[in-house]
Amino acid sequence: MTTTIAKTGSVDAMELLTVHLRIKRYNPEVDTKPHWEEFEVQQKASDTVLNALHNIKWTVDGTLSFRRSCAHGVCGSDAMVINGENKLSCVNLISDVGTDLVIEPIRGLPVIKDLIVDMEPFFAQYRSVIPYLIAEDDPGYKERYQSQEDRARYDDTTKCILCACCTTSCPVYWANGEYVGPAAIVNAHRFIFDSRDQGTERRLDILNQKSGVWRCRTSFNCTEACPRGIKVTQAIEEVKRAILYDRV
Amino acid sequence: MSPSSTMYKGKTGQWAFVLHRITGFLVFMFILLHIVDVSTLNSPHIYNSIHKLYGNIFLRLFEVGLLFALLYHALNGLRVVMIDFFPKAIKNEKGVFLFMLSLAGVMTLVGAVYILKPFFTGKV
Ligand code: SF4
Ligand code: SF4
Ligand code: FES
Repeated sequence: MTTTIAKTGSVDAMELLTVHLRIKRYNPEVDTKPHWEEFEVQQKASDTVLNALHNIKWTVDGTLSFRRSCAHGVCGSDAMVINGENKLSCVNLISDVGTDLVIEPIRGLPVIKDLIVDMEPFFAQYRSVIPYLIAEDDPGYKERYQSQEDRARYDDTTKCILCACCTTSCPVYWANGEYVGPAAIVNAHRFIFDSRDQGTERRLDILNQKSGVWRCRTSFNCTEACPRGIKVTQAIEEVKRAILYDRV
Repeated sequence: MSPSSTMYKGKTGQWAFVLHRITGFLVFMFILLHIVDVSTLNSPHIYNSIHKLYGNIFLRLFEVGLLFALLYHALNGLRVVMIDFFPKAIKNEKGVFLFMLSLAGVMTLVGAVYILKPFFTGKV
């Protein structure tokens, strides 16, 4: 085979590989508890884990359930535990994760079916930090100006796609679902440090409660898990200091 | 058959946290033990025979482990304080962890010499 397609690592990107998947499945209509099922599919090294899941769903077992929408790392719907780590299935290539895959639903949220979890508690926690711009004064017929430095303060946390990779990798969140979790704090950070926003005090009050930032034990799982490369723990620490010193 | 759930593959931060919990628990249990043995002070006879026990090799090894637990818990606690207060520490969080772990290890080895020596020289 002659090909000019870039190779990923030392593997030929076009070569077909046998990918072995062990998937934790649960069907609420017949199962009392989750069980493992094994599948084998042929994939290219340049395929994503999501490609392999599609392959199973479309050619082997149509009942396999998982969420996905964009398939390009933008919508945040396909977080799952892949070989022990939270990842988006659509942005991880077989050449990176290997041909032996163990896949489970993300932890800390109730499983609905197979790899689909109920995201509602997660989104409720997101909503609880008032994740939108609060600016009640009327700027008149002008824009709300912001300097480049002021914009840079919260640049990192604007990148969040609400995939829940961080929150469901947090050992504190597994043990205590009351904790608002890193994703909610990241999205609070995005507005707390926005110079145009006027809701800082309200948000800091919310995050100063028992279920807020002080639950974080700096284990960095969230930072390692974030597919957008957001420095999650650092953002949490900035919020902790904003509460402590009462200044942003 | 496969386990019902796999272990989450966290990096150093996760293990620093887990070790912190375990060592914290050990130190707490020791304090309970310590309170019990000190409370026997008003019957010197019991107190002395308990303290003879501490001279045997197993309890001495236990004390070495306890020393490590104490040191690790204290030093990692400092690491967390550093992460909380100094933005620079968070960038080198892994380095700081390895440093604290090694420091706890080295100090434990030094302490172990003092704890174990009397047993081997027989001078209790
Ligand atoms: S750093 Fe904090 S929020 Fe992130 S995983 Fe650890 S405990 Fe959870
Ligand atoms: S901070 Fe990162 S891991 Fe967490 S929800 Fe946002 S994008 Fe996902
Ligand atoms: S499917 Fe949209 S992020 Fe993966």
